Amino acid sequence: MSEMTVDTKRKGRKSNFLQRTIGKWIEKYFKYLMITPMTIILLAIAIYPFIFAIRLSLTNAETLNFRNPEWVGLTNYLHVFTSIQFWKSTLITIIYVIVVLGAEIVLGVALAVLVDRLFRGQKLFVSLLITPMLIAPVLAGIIFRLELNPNFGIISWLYKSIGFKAELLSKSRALITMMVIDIWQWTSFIFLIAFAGLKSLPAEPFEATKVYGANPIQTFRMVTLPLIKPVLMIAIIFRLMDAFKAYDHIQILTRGGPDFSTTTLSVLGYNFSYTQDNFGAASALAIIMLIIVVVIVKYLLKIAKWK
Amino acid sequence: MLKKLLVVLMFICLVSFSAFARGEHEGTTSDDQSGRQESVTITVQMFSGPEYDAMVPTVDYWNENYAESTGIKVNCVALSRVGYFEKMQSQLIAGLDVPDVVHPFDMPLPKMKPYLEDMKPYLEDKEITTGPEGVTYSMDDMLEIALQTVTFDDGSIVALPKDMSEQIFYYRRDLIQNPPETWPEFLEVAKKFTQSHNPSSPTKYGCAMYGKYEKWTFYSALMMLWPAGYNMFKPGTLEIDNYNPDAVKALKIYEELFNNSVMYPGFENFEYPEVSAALQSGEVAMAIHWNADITDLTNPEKAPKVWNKIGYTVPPGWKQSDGSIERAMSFLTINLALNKNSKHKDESMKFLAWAVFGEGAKIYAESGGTSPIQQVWFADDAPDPYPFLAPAMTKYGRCLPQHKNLAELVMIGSSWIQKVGIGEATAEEAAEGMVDEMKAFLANK
Repeated sequence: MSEMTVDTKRKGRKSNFLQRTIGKWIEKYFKYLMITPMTIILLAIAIYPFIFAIRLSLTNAETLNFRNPEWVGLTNYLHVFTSIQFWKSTLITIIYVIVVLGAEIVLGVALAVLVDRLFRGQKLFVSLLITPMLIAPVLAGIIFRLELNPNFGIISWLYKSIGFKAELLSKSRALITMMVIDIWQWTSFIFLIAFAGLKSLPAEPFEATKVYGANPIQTFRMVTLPLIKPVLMIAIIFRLMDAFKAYDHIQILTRGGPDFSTTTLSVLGYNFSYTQDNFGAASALAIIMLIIVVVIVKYLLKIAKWK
Repeated sequence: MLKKLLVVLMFICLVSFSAFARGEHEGTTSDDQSGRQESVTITVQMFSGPEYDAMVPTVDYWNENYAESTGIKVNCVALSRVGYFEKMQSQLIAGLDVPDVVHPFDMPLPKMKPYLEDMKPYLEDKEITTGPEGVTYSMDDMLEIALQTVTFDDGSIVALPKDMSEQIFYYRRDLIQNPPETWPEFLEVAKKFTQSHNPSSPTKYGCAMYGKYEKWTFYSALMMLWPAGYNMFKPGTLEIDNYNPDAVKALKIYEELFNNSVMYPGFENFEYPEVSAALQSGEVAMAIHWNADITDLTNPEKAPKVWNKIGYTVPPGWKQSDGSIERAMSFLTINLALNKNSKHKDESMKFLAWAVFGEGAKIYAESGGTSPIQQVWFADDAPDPYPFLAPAMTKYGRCLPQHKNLAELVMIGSSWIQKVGIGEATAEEAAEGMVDEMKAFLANK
């Protein structure tokens, strides 16, 4: 019996040693092992296309020579910068981003504060409010194409019954309509982030404001807003990147018209590719857009850190 | 720890296995145990609309009657009209082997040629051109005007016309006894049937026109431009023609339509669905629109308000000095082309030959399509609208010549038509701007 015990103990010590060694190795490198597959996938779907786009932007790629384009250096970048439409589209995009972001922040935060104050039905309201965000942007475009149809569209009918004459997709109104659709769909994103931020706030500062007799506006301005700013900043950065790339519903509804009044930079990129059959210029524009967004986001992150 | 690791590794293996496991799917060949012919499934990818609607019963007929005997099963899929050509272009450039058959217009064929199979050798092979019903087909059966849109200078044929779309003139025959013969008359009739000019008009607006920043807007305008004397290219060349004052006369019609507010509102976003809806609403007296909508507009279920009131005829034209009227009906072919990377070219061609020349063409025509073959167009018992279309197209049919950047040039034209139609440019500015922009575009190529 003692031999068996010694033997068992010896075997036990051996397996313990193996387990400890392998176990330590796994503990140390397990996390890297787990993220490796996803890293490889991300590299494949993000880095490779980026490098491909840079390469394409330096060639005269079009449909006929796509597999064997010629090197043209920075010609495409020059073509983009000297194109009047590029500057018009940049202006349209800037207006678009400022207006939709501003409106979405104000409405999103306001809705979050209101819903946070509700005693009943919070979950229901949250579910209803985030519904637009769940619809694919292309589908939203198709829905609004029907709703804005001058023949049978409900929104068109309501708009005219109020007394307006100009069509919602006319040159003077089309950009506003595109912005309203964006605000309708993505206010819920800001709302959701702000609402989550509000829910995570500690109760003590608010109790203190009650003690000091601050009114709701003062409380919101001096306590709530500063506390949810970091979270809001992240939401703003995400929305800014998305709004800058606005494309789906615009393409469905107006294709950048009438008379290029809704041609954002993304729509212009599409036009370079498929309307002008110039994939080189389209890639150059995409790289330029990337640089602009990176610069803006870096600046916003800097501001967020300071505050 | 080891147990956790084993569980995680098992999970990864399961996920990888289900992600990468390949079962039987379209395009593979399967061995039939009874010893019958190996079956192959080919994929025909079309864009949604009346052409796809007419193709579905055609494909169903083939699958029910010939799939077993030929071993060729057809899977016909429809993608959204919006962005279809861009998707198709991307698929072909990417070198995908599916779909086997794609659905391009004639316009992009010159630039898609490297990615499409030359069908001529197949069409000279009796094995391919003899259908399962025992009939041998001939290229002579195809309407010549349709065939020329897919035939290149080197003799290659990169697609088969499956449908021929023409822009025709729709009008309310219960309201308009004599359709306008000339474009100036068209303008006057449009005013007569617009309530802002004539409060007692039974329709709100005189006409609905294509105006969206899309290729069809220019095709619509060509019916005014061509007979007025405008040509995109110099005769016999592919060089953009210089500024032509005749174009001003034609574009002035758009200018007047806008100035007089006789067009259905929303012109700048109008294409097929919107013009169709405008006609179906009964609020419009006339429209320039594709022939494909005849079936729906004369269907009591789909157009209950107007199905028995819609008439169609040749478009107005321009009166010449000798008193005759010069007209043009712009048309294009909607084709079925073979993907150069398809793994089932013979099978696909076998089906295409039947669908384009054989029984398939008749079934397609009966289902609302416009098969451009003699037996359908000029048959004694040809269904509507062939008795109208056949002589009209023979006399007035006109298409744009092949050019590798035709699609881009047409979009430039469309943008100027839109500008005139919304009052952002005069006819004179558009006539000059269109030419200058087309020349500048080609100079950069």
